[in-house]
Amino acid sequence: MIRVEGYEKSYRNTVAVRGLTFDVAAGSVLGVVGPNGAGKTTTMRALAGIIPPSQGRLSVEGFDIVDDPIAAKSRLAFIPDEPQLFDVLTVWEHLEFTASVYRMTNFSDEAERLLEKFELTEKRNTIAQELSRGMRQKVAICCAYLHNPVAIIFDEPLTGLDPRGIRTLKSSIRERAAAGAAVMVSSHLLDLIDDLCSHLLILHRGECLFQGTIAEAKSRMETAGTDTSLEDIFFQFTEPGTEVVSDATKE
Amino acid sequence: MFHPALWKLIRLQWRGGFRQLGRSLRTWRGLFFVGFIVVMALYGLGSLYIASRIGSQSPQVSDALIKMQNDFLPLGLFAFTFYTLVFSTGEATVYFTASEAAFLFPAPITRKQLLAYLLLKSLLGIAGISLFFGVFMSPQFAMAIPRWLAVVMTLSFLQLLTMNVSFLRQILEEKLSLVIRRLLGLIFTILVFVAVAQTMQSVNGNDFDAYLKFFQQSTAGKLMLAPFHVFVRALTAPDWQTFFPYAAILFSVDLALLLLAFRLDALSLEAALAISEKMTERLKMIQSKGAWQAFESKRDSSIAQRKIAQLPYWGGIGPVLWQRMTTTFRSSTRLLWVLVGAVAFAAGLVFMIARSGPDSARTVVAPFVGMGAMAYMSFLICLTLQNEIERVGYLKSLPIRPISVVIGDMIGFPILLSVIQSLFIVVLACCFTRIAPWLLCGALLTLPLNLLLFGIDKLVFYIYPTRMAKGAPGDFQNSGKQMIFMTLKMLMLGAAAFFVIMAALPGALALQSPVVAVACAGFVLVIECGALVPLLMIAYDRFDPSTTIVQ
Repeated sequence: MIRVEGYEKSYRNTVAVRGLTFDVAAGSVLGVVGPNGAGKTTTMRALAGIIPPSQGRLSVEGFDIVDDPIAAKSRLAFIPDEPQLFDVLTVWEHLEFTASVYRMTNFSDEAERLLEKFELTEKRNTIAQELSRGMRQKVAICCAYLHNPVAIIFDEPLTGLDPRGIRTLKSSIRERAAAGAAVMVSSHLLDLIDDLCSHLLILHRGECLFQGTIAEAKSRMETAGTDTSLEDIFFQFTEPGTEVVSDATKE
Repeated sequence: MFHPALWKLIRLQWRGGFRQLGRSLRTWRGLFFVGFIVVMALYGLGSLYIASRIGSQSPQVSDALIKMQNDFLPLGLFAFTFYTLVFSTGEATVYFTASEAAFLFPAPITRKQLLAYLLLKSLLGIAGISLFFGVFMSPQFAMAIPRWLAVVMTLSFLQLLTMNVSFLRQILEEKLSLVIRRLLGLIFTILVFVAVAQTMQSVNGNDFDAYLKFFQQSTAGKLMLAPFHVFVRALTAPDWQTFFPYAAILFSVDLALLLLAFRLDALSLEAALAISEKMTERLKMIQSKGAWQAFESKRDSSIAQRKIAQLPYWGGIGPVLWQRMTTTFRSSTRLLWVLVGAVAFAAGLVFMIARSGPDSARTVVAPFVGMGAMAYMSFLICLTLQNEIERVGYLKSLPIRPISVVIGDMIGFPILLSVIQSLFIVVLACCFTRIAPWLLCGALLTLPLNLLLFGIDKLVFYIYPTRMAKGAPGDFQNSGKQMIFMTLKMLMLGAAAFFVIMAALPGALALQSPVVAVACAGFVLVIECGALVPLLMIAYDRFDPSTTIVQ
């Protein structure tokens, strides 16, 4: 569903991401982890068609994000880390506008359902300026879900959400994946990744250190045990001197 | 061509703006704030309109205005074009708000559609601003519409030119772009140099008008300015017949630039996102730390080299004062440059007045005008300094008595400002020896005057902790509040200044003694500053950072 082949992004003398290749199949949830500056957001923004790749191909459901951006973007939803809403628009108007962007004619029922799910029904006529950080995040998520995207990309999705909001979001991600969507989640919260994701991608300084299932990651640990946490795995991989084990180097 | 969602967004934002305005008007308080700003706006625009109407009755004033436009507008437009082609990155013309970037960039909307949206929004803004120049400043009411159209086309030209330059810089190889810009810079510089040289050779004397006229009529001057005279002709057209041909040329130029922008199709979402993030960050910074820190270009550790020696404890005043002065010194380079600019401006004013005639009165008036200009600039700078709500929260957490915090926080910037102002006045005293004693005595008043100015500003802030508003459409209530607080500060300052002047007058007029006048004024100033301290202390003590007025 989401396919990245030989993706590279460089700025003058700096290489932000180097030769990244991975797939996110329909129904799977890929957790993207890495220290600050690892290239997570750069990769996600490239997939969302915001920043062009220096090299490589990125596609959504077979549509290349550079050659056929409209088709690719129509199938995709990108939720950035900071929910940026239009201050003077109401919650409902955000949904109305999003429906118009994706040329949806009958959106009301789905919008109502999403508002109810994310406990925003009472806030439907509240302007964004008056919402808390967590509520703004929920509105951004509702807008992203509205057109039933087949690929969903979350950049640090839990920031500002209350425990109930976190539970709702996690269950919604599982539901979307179960319904056949390919989901990518970037987060520093390793527990979230462990709990939610089927696959793992560890990036460090723009390079892929590991990709595979979470079970594979755990089994690859030298001191692997049944109770190995993702935190242990993360530090094991990102410690200085760790060998890069991306697909590119394997070849 | 234009995505329907983008129409919808514009419509929804307008609706949201009006809704915001309507909500403001529902409470008495909101009604008062909005009413205040409407009255002030009507007063400002009304006086401009009446002044231009009265001016238009007099052929001399009318001719002088047209002459001024003919003389300076082409020069201004040339300077802008020069700057744009050679130096500008054109960032501001491809600015999307953070919410637009978040919703529109990952959406299935083409680059050309986004460009059309950007241009339409910009045109609507230009049309609104142009009303001010076109209608309210129009000398002839009958020609208000063509004048408005001419202003719209002129501003659109500037916008489109900058945007195309920005696109071309993205398309061209960096090296090629640099070569082209350097070449253009060289050509422009040679033209200016030749025109200036010809003028200096041919014109003698002190008549500025003669220099300007010859500069414009020299071969190089004509070459540089000819394209921009079209704009002036359209702007100052006395009737529709004269207006049409020039307007047609302007329209064609704008249309060509518009088509070029679409043809280049170089709107980079990556660059636009970077600009949007930078601007959003800057806005946040302005809200929390003020404009000077937000526009500070240097933000790396090298600023740590600018050191101020640690001060003694002084009952808690020392650390607070040191922190305030170090922050100003490290993060307000531009502010310091503005202060230098203020000195240069005041000095220029003094020079011009003193040079304009041998009349001895001028040599007395000139230095005082310079001092007045400096004081006014200080007032403007004071208004732009943002009081930081978060910082007050931090200061309240320190184990330091309120009186020490209040004093330490208040005196940092006034000391810096007073040193610069005093140096300026000392230089003035050296140049105008006849009134040197008056000037030097006046220099002694700079510190208490600045303390009073900043003290009043802090007092109003502690009582009504305001943060600069985000400026949502239709949110006139916040602007009204800011304006009212400003009026309040000015009234307090006016009242304080009244007592100072009353105290100084007997010494100045009856005894003709600068020492007595300054001593009396200084005494009143010190009492006023002293009286401010307990008031500041009480206000600081009661300050609650969680109840900021403007969010």
